[in-house]
Amino acid sequence: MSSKMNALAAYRVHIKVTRRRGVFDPAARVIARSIDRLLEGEDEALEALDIHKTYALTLRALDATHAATIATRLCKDLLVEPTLEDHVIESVQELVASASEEP
Amino acid sequence: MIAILSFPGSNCDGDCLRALREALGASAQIVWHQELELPEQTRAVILPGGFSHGDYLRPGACARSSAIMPDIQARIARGMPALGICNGFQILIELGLLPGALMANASLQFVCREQTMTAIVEGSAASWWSNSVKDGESFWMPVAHRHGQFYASEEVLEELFASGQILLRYGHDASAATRRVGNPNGSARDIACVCDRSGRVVGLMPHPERAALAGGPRGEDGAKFLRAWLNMVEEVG
Repeated sequence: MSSKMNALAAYRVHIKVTRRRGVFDPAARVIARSIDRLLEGEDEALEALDIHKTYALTLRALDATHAATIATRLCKDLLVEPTLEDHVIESVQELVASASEEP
Repeated sequence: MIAILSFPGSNCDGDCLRALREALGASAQIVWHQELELPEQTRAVILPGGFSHGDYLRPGACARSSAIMPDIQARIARGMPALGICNGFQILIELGLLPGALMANASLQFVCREQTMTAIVEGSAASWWSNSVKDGESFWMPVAHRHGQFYASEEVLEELFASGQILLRYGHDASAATRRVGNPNGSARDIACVCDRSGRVVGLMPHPERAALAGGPRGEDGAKFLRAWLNMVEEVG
């Protein structure tokens, strides 16, 4: 491992990708109809259903802010379709190296 | 020479090659996506249909980071024409070269059928289109896709129509009684084919290469479309 890599720590970043408000999701409609059928005759009802995606990335970065910056760039460049989707970085957590990984 | 890109999962590259060579007499060559540059003599590029990289993440999303893409983007920025068909249309949108997005069909089903479309020519941003096609002219070409529902915000849709960037719309041919009319995938305002502001970058979900060979079972409207596009390639030189 290079000295540059040694200076970096591992961060677990969770990203939630959601459908943009107003963009119709046909898959959510089909699933909602199925749930409606399951609940038919029950004293319960489905109010709303949204389908989200979650990405869990492990990134090497200088600090948590740097890890979030990298994740935001990856969302912009690849992970998120900007016309259809929004995203939020839900958490950035530093991973503590296990004993076996210590030099 | 027209370069036809090929990715893992492309399945229409061979059809494009045959249509260009046999139906239109054009010089064409398939180029693998891991090449760093297009061949020197390339005058235009076609991104063909299929399921590049298994459609993982989103259709076309992984293809945008292929090794050859920086060269293609640089050439398009310098004026090289590009045509994206089906998955190729999805890739051009992922590259940010065409507006909007292509989402799953409204039916959530793969749609595979022959489809009537109508040309929009008046005020077109693509002079090659208005030079070759009449306003309201009918086209009949196959569609085969699961993610072909064109979506854009109302503002973007208004702008696309106002600036003449919509070349084909689904349906609108009441006289073609035996042909499938209507909108096969729920696309906003029946949009089937879009170009950029220059008219040189074009994307469509229908497959002109599958309706191009003389005497073929699907007619030759695809050849009509490709011939018009090739005329522009000739002019751009």
